[in-house]
Amino acid sequence: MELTTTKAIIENILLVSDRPVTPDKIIETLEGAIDADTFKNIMDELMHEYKQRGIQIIEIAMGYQLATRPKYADWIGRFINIDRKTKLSKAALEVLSIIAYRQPITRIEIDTIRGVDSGGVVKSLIDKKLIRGMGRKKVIGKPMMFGTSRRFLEYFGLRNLADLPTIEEFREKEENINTSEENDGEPRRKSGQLFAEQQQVEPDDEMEDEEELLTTEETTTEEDI
Amino acid sequence: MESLETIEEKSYQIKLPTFEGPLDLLLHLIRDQEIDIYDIPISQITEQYIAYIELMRDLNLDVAGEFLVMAATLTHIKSRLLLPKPDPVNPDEEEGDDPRNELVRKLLEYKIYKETTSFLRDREEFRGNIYVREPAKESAADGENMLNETTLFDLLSAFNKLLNSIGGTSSKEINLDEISVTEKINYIMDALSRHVQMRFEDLFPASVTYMEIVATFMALLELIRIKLVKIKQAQLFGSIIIYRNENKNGTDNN
Repeated sequence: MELTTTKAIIENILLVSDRPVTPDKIIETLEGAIDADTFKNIMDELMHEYKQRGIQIIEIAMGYQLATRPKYADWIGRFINIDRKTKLSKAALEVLSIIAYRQPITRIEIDTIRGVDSGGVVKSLIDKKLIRGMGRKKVIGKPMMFGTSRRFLEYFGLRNLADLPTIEEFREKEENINTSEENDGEPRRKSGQLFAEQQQVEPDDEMEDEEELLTTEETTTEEDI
Repeated sequence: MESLETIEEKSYQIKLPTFEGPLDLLLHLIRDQEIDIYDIPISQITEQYIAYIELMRDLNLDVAGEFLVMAATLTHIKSRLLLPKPDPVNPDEEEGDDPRNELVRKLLEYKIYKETTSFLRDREEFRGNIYVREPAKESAADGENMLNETTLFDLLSAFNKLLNSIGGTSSKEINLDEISVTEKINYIMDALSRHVQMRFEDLFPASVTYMEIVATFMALLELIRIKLVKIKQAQLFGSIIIYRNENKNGTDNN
């Protein structure tokens, strides 16, 4: 199959798909006519070509998708007549970001970080399919652990979890602002890697990386369960 | 320590933003007064915190229990700070020396997640201006999560139907045939290696015994749990279809 044909097919698939199209899916559809590298090259080319166009190809949720451009948002909104102003609540975003960085995490652990009950919020995030169950933690009561879903990536326009800035980046930003004296450094330590030892259930690749980043800097863990 | 007036003034300056919880409120007080988080003037903060809660009460706002717990914690820390310091010659008291440490640790952690939250808010804003083709309906991939939940009941009712259909055959089972779930797992996987998918009913040949049905069903549940197979139901009350889960290799094994 000629490369131009392949490229055209992919472009057509992108048009009809209502979800981000993953490399695996394309390669499978093309019955292995191309490999992952070739696919990547084709996509780079396509994305480059679309720079000249009114619409764009975005990399999102581990795949690619045809999308509108932000600057025409008002027009599109007017056309499809959907109120996009409904945003997630502050509480929902807070819980979501804790889950994103600490997954898999139980509700109790979320409550502990927020200092407030999160049951209702977790429930609504499940309903919105922004989070999903990731098995049960092997402690008393076997509580459900939660992680972010693919929908989460789509909702925030992330390619994968590695697109999230690391906790360290946030912390450094904090420390740059906070020029006060160091104290004994004790409270600065990242708290509660209480679940570092627990096994990952269904790890996404990126997730694992993230998890590693989060745990390696930990030296001592307080026994504060 | 601030005088009462300034505290009251402070409290009423707050235009009652909604706080997500006690930590949120504390961070607000700390930021508002540019307090060094590593050296929190506990008395001052405690008084302001309590003043705020009383304000909420005066305004007939619901004060969640967590806010009160924090008030108690702050008061407790305050009282501990008033106690004479332990003998400095005996420093092998663990790091928990300063009763504020635990609180500071929590505050700092929470603070980080407030940052990540605002990052997500920005992303949400940005993403909100990009439109893609809307999913025609709840697509299959979305449904996967649901399948685990909803079809469990469907599975059970299918199982129930099956048991009812074999009626009273159980009376003959005196010789204890060892039918293991493992055996049935192999049976199902074997069947699925020959067919891409099969109907739930087809797992149970006409002449099976009660024990076999139970074992097969348990095997199926186990396979679903370790994600080796998936089930779906094309339409409501339709046949339950069992198929191999190609892209999982059962990470949750124990």
